[in-house]
Formats: sequence, C-alpha cells, structure tokens
Amino acid sequence: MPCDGRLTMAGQSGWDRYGLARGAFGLAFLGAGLLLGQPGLGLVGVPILVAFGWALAWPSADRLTLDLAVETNPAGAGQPAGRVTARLEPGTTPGVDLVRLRLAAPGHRLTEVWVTPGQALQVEYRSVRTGLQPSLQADFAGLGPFGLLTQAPDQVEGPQWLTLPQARTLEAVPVPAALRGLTGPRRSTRRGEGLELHDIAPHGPGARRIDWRTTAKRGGLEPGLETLYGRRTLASSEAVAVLVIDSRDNLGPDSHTWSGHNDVSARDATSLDLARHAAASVATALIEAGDRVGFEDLGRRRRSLPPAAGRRHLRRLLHSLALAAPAGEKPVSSNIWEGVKPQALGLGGPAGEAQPRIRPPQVAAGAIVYLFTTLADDESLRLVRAWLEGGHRVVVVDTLPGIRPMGELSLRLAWRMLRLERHDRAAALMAHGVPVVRVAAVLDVDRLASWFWVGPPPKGTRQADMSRQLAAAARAAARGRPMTSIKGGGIR
Amino acid sequence: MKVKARETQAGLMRQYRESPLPKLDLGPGPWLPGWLFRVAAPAWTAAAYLFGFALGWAAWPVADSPMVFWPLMAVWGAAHTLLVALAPGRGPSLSTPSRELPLGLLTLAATPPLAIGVVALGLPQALWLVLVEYVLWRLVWWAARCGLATWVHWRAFARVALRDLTVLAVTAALGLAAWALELAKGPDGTALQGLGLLAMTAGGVALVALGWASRRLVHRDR
Repeated sequence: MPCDGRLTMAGQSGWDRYGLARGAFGLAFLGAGLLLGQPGLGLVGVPILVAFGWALAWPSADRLTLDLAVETNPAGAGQPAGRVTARLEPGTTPGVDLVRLRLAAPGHRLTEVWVTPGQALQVEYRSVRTGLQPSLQADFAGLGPFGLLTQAPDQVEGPQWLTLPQARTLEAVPVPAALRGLTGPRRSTRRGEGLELHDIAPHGPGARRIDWRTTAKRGGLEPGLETLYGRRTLASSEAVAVLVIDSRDNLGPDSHTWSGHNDVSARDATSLDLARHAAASVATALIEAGDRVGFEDLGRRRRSLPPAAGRRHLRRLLHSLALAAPAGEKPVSSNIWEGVKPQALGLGGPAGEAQPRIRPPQVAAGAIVYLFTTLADDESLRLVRAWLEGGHRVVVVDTLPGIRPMGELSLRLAWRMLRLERHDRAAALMAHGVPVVRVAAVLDVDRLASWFWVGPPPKGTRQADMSRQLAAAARAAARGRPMTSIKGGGIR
Repeated sequence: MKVKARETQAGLMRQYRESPLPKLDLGPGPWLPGWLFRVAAPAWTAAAYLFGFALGWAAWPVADSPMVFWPLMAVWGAAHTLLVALAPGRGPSLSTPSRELPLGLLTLAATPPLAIGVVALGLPQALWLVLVEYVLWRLVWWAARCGLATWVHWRAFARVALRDLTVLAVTAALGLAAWALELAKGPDGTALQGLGLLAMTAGGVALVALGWASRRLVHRDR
C-alpha cells in the first residue's frame, strides 16, 4: 500500500541543520590549520569535508514509499489471542541511504527501527482485543549518506479488521418465565401442538391425535366404540432473549488507562471484550437450543437486531457484538470522575453525540433480558427497573475485568469508592430479584485463555464463574425459586 | 504496621511497573539496541578527553601551563560527557533529533584539549585524533537519533559504518600524503614546510568541489 501523503511536506528532502553546522566546523578547522601552519589541526576538518563531498555527489532523494501488508490470523476456538503479521518494505528510492520507521501497533510499545531501502521487515504481535481493530501505523523517513540529507516523515496505515468474539460452552442459561410461540424446542405450560403428553381426552378440539390404545381399552368398557380418545400435548414453544450490551464503558484491568491517556495493553481484555465474549457465549447457548435471540447496544442509537433463531442469525449476532463500541457521550454519575470529560476517561465517543438514552430499549414481550454492563453508573440500574416493571426477567452480567493493583493512593481511593458504588448497585439489583453474574476475574491473556478452558478450571483461576452461576440461576428459575439464590452471585 | 503498609505500597508499585505494554516482535536480526549508542556516545566522549589530555600533557606539561587550565579542562570534559549522556532524553521524533544541534556544537568542546596536543605533535598523531573526533561525531549523531526503544538492523548499521570507514580511509590517505610532502626535501635539501598542508587543504576542498560538480552535472536531469 503506497503512502497517500497525508502529511504536508512529507517526503521533501533538505539538508540537515546539524550537518551544515558540522560542514562549517570542518571548513573552520581546515582554515585554522592553514592560517596557523598546523597540518594536524587542518586534518581534523578533512573527514567532515569528505563526507560533505560524498553527500553533495549523492543524487537528490525521491519520495520514499513504504509497502505495508497486514495479515490477520484470528484466534482459534478456545484461544483468546489473535496473531497479526505486518510486512513492511521500504522502496529502493534513489537518494535514500537509510530508512527510519516508527511503528505504532495498538496496545503495544512504540517501536523505532532503522533499515536499509528495499529491506523487508516482518513484524508480529498478538492481541486479545475484539471488535474493530485499528491496524499497524508506520511513520517513516528517508536519510541520505551520513544523515546530511533528510526527508520529512511520511505515514502509512494498514486496513482495519474485525475480530469476532469467541463463545465458550455454557452448561445452562436462564430462560424467560413465560415461553411464547407454538413451535420451538421448549415445553410450554399451555396445551397445544407438541410432543410432550398433557393428558388423554375425548376426541375434539385440542385432542385430534387419536390414542388407539386408550380408545380400545375404553371401548371395552363402552360397547359400540362410540367415543374416540385423543392425546392432548403441551405446546412447543421457544424462549426469546435480548442481549443488551452497555458499550458506553470500555475499561481495562489497568486503571491507569481509564483516563484515556495511556493505551490498554493488547494482552489485556477490556470490559467490552469480556461483554462481547460473554454475550456470544449466551447467544450461542440459546440459539443452539433453538431459541430466539435479539441484540441491543446501549452505546449506539441504531437499529437493533430483532430476535431470531438459526445459525445465520448467530453469525449476524456475532458481527453486531463485535461492532458494539462506545459512541456518544456518557453522563458520568460517579463522584470520582465528576467534572472530567467522559472522553478523557475513555467512557464515550466523540463529543457532540451526547445523547443518553431516555427510554430503555424496547424488548419483545415475555423476553428475558441479559444486560452486560460494568455497573459503573446508575444507568444500568434504571434500565433494569424499567424492564422489571414491564414483567421481564433480567440477568445482569458484570463485565468489569479483575482490576490490577495500583500503586497511587489517589487511584486506590477512587477504585475503592467505585467498588462500593458497584456493590450498592449489585445489592439493589439482587434485592429486586435480578441475579448479578460475574464474567471472570480475567486480567490478561493467560487468564482469558483459562476462561475459555472447558473442563475443570486450572489452579488459581475462577474460570467457571459465569457458566456455573448462570447454570445455578437457570436451575433455580426452573424450580420456581428466585434466581438470586445462586451461590457466589453478586460482586466480590 | 507502618512498615507493613510501606512494604505493601512498594509491592503494588512494583507490580504495576512490571506490566508495561508488550513489545512488537521484529523479524530476524541481529538488531542493535538504541541504548547501545546512548551508552557508547558518552563513553567515547570520556575516552576522547582522556586521549586529548594524554596528548596535551605530553605537548604542554603541567608545569608550563597556567594553573587552572587542566582542572578547568577536566571539569569541562566531565560536563560534556554528562551532557552527551543526558541530553538526548527518552527518544527523538522522526523529524527532529534529540537536541542534536547543541550536542553537535558541544562536540566542539572536546576540541581545545585535543587541539593542544595536535598542534605540538604534528600529523601522524593527528591521524589518531581524527579517528577519535570523527567517531565521536558519528556516535553523537546516532545517540541523538536513537531512542531507548530504537532497534537498528545490523545491515543499516553496516552500511553506515562502511561509509564511515571509507571516509576515514580517504582522510588517512590525504594525511599520509601530506605527511610525506612535509618530510620531502627540495632540490637544495631544505624541507618543504607547508607544502603538505597546502596539498591537504587543496585535496579537501577539491573533494567538496567534486561532489558539488557531480551533483550539478551528473544528477542535473533528475
């Protein structure tokens, strides 16, 4: 991909100021040697003049080009980190002797390298981040011999790509209290078309499938076989779930990055990454069971994905999850960051889109709502209350990653206050009968790998948190007990 | 209790410091780290001063020089070395090297003690001085352009080093030719004083003129 010259002056050559000063220095030595009659003194200036003569004889530099090809290898099943390979090759441009490259990969250290023109360079890095990924950006500048001729820097950037979230296997997930529809994989409590036997009744509406065995038995008691008996079944039905992602927050495990000034490491999964993975897991579990799943993104005011079933819909869901991203200013309720612009905290998108949602997203009647949020403000609480009032069953999934210990006293105090607020919100939700399930204490790529692990969790990890708690909530709901009775629910 | 709290704080700080952003995996090398030049530049500066002092003392004994001269030179040298070590800062931008102009001009500071030695000792010793001075110039150039996170591929370094060696070889050839002319005697048996210096000056200026002419004539169409 050739550079597109976004920088004005890019590629323009000029004499290095310091080089010119050195040239004058060399001439001065030669002159001083001549005036004082000291050949030794004059000799000091000679190499500088030789270098200058060389640089003068060097052809004027053309504009340097840099080819950048990026290849992405998404993470395989159960692997959290994808691999990115970038191949950079500065063109062999006449007049360019050396090339300086400054490489900026998202979530990695800025790296500067010096290569020769025409020398291919392969750069690799790994990232656990999901969603729309910014590519490697390279600033480059050419130099003439001895650095006496320099070029203004130019810039080239690779294409963006989309990393889909990974679904992990979940044991069971809660479903709505009231199942709907006349078809589907689940058994309704109503009579209708289905496979599950409800009772046997005289042939008529609702009992059209004749049960010959019962009819024969009863016929023996009733001469003439006048009455036919039919099987009445429980209706098949399906669960409808709506996944709501609170994408207004995107917080990493390192609280130093919450100000927006520092990059989140590519090895750290943010709350949004965890939300995407968790939502993908729930969606996969429900759709594979034949249920219908819809999607809403709290951070964006765009058309939601209506509930549907099937593998094609699952792929559409995963794409929508990957595209969920903060857009629009978020009203920060926390006192900790009061007065600080949300963009500075990495909590919102570009300014001018400050439109907090006035109404909660509309969800289908009888649907269960899965809300994936960090519980960093009261907005989630307000939405959950509105859904509860509408008669929906709600499950809140806490997506805040495990927070790394912080050294600064101010940060520790701020985190302590935020943690207390989150505790209060979780307690309020539990009091309303809403289970609060934690994704995992995921810190970095190693812990995320263990999160995807299927089987007994590796020692020292809390891999089974979400799966176990959701299964417990599902069992409690099936037995008619409150879902909040699950062990280990809430926020630690 | 206070001690424990302090230990915990230190532990937390250490834990945070131990989790910097990951590095990019560069292709096959070998790669020379940028800090190598940052270390080599002040080391060479100090070595240049020591070399200059050695030459200067030989030419101008302490007894004959003003009392404050050599201590002043020693402080000068130490300050210069320190500046070369610290001035480049964390890392330069692509367009502006790290304080390179002041650094380069500071290189001039190394001149007086060196020059004193050269003035008295003549051409053969001056060849060593040229080597020291030129390498100092080039190392300061690298140090001003390489940050701590910079990696220089050996091929790029080798290309630059080869050009530098060529320059030094040409200089040595000019110096030795000038020395030979200095030693040559005229028909009447007297030494041709100043002929070598004149020839060297003419050679240096001719090289620059040749380069300029080449730029004007050969690359005119570009």
